[in-house]
Amino acid sequence: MMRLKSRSVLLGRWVLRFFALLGDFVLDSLKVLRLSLTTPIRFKHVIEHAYSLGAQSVGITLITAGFVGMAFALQVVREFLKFGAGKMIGGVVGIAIWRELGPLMTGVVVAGRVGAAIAAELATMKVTEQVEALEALGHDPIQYLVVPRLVAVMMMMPLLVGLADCIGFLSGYVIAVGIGRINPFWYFESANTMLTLFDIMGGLLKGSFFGVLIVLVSAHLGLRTNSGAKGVGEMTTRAVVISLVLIFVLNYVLSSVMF
Amino acid sequence: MIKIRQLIKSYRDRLVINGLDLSVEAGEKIAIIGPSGCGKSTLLRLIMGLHEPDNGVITVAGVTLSAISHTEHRLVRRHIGMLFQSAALFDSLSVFDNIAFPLESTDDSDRVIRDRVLELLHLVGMTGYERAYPHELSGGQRKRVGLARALALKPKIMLYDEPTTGLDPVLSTSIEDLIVDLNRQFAVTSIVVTHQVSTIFRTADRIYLMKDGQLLPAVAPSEIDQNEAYRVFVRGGLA
Repeated sequence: MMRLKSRSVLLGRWVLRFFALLGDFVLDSLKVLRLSLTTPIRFKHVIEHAYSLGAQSVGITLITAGFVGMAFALQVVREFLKFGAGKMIGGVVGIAIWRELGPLMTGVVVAGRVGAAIAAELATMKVTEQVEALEALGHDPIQYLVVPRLVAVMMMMPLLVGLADCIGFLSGYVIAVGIGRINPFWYFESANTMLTLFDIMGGLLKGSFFGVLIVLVSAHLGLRTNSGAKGVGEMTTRAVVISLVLIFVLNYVLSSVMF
Repeated sequence: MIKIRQLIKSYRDRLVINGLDLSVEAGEKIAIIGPSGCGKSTLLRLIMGLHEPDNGVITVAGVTLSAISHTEHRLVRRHIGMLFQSAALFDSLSVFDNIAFPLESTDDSDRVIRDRVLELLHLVGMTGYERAYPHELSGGQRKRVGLARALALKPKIMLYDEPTTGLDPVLSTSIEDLIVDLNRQFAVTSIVVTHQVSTIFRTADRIYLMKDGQLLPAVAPSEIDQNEAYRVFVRGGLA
């Protein structure tokens, strides 16, 4: 009986802690979104972050998209050719890439690279008193540190997703034509027939949602860091893991609503 | 200039400040001493408005902090400079940009800002380091630049969090001299939180010992040996 009671107490504490953390995250996120809409944007900072967080992610995004596109096309080519459906390969690869794989891969890459960078940088600033110094000098840390990063990532994510989509689709073309001996005309024609503008725009929109999520989670955790180098490492890892999990959940929700 | 009444602050279940009272007049310089973790730095952050008290009233330059909005808080903070224990320079900015940072939110022209930064660098003995980055500076140099940045907006109050901790005696003396000079030249009200005995004696008119979340009655530096609690803390129990 006593054991059951202590377990209940532990569970109760865990639930309370979970909702307290969730509440903090929601309040911080609302503040970031409110400040993004109501305060002047520092475009110099936005451009700096767009370069370091977005432009410098292009290489890894394209490599990832290229190989995922090729691997996916390889499986599709093998199976579709068995059923004599080679003319549909371009359309199937296109739908998969534009609706799902492009935004998801880009989200995963950006969560790993950009989410970790934001969390580590803000956490380091927090433990070295730089965030408090910013406040002491009359600036709101969320407005100064988080809003420009959010705007930059929101700007860059659709571009990264669009690039990943194109490279993924063209990599699929290389496999379909090179290995599957598909007529190049049918690859593009089936994509042209099956893909709609909404598929393309929906994928880009998903990317923006993922970008917002990554910045909100990483910035929130970075600014909550309290305990030295160990805390910086823990919060950085946590930011990447939570961002990844939430991206997969959000991807399912958005896909079921949009497509 | 600063009035604190019945201040209470706790973190989770730990009571750090417990009914603290303090009054500091304009132009005065006081030191607060006490064991590590007793709440000295917390007190500075409460005065600065970086943390919110659980209870009590803090009045700075006639403004009650609990009665004003966040925006007004930021305006009040412009009258207070703070030198952080780690100097807290922004890693991504050069020395020049660190010191110019508070000035960028004023209406001053670039030329005025540049002149002010160079003047401050001269004041803290760091002329010629404008282009250096924080990671290229020693601990003492970082503290000097942090001090220059804190002084950029000509604050009426300066809060020093362990200004000489971790510095060699020569650098400590130079920082202490700066604190005294600032008080003498510009009548800046100073609160120094420190462990360093030399800093206590050189920078304060009055000394407070923090114990159990409260401040013991102040003593002058010359009276330390006559007060048992102060003598034990400062001299390590030696008569």
